[in-house]
Amino acid sequence: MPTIIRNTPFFDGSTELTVRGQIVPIKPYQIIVWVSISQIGLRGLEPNTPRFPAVLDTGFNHSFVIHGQQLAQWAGLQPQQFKALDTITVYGEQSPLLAGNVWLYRNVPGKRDTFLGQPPFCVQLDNGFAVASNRANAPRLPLLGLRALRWANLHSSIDGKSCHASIRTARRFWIFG
Amino acid sequence: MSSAMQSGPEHSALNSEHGATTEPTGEYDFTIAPMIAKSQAAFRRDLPRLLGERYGKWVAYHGDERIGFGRSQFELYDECTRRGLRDDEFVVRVVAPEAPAEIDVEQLQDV
Repeated sequence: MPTIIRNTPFFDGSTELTVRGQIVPIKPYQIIVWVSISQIGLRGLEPNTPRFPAVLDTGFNHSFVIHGQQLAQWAGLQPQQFKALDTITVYGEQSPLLAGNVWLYRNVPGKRDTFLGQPPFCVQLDNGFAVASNRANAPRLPLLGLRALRWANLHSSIDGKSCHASIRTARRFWIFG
Repeated sequence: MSSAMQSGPEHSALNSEHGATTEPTGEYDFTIAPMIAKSQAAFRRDLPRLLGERYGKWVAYHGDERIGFGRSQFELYDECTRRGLRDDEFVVRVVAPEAPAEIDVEQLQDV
C-alpha cells in the first residue's frame, strides 16, 4: 500500500493529544504524524513499541530531532542504546547524531490520532537523528524534516482547503490516460 | 512553520565542524567509535566526486574501504553484517549534500 498518512487533519485552532498520560498541546497548523524510533538494521518493530507525535516540518532541513527527555519518556529509549555517528550543535548544545530510523504509523483516513492495524513504514535516515540536550532550549515536539522525506523518496501533500495532509511512497508505475 | 538554519557554504560537506570526532559530546558524553569516525571521514573525502557520479544512492564505508552502493540503507546494512562487520565499524550514508552542522534555536522557538 503506497499511502502511509492519508488525509490527516490539521486545524486552525489549538488542539491537544495524550502521550503516555501526558496532555500535549498542539498549536494551530501543526501537522502531526505519529512515529517510533529504532536502531538501524531492523526491518520491523515489536507490536508494543511506543509511538509518539512529531511535527512534520517542511522547513526543517534536518531529518529528525527529539528532546532527550521525550526520547526517554515517550519512546522508552536512552541515547546510549544507539551508536553515535557524528556530532552536531543542537540549539546551542553539542549533541550526538545517533544511528536510528523513524517509523511512520498509518492513520485511519481523516483521523490524526487513530491508526490502522498495519505495520509502520520505516523512514531510513541518512546519518541518523539528533537528540537535543536536556539543557537546550529545544522545541516542544520532535520534528520530522524534509530531509527525511527526501531520501526516503516520499511524496507529501498538503490540502489547504480541507486542512488535510498525506504522505505516500513514490509510485512505481505511472498510469496514462 | 519554522525551520532550522538553511544550508550554506559555511555548512558544506567538508566543513571541519561537521567532521566526526572521538571526543565525548555534551550532556550525553558520547564517544564516536574510531571506525565510524574513519568511515565518516572517508565518505566526506569521496563525497565531492560521488555527488557527480552517484547522487542519491546509498553508500557504505568501513573505514577507508567503500563497501558498495545500494538502493536502500537496509540493503547495505545487510551487506556489511554479512561481511561480519559490527555496527560500530561502518556507516551507511546517502550520496547527497550533508545537512547543516547546526540546528539553530532562534528559528525554532515558535515550534
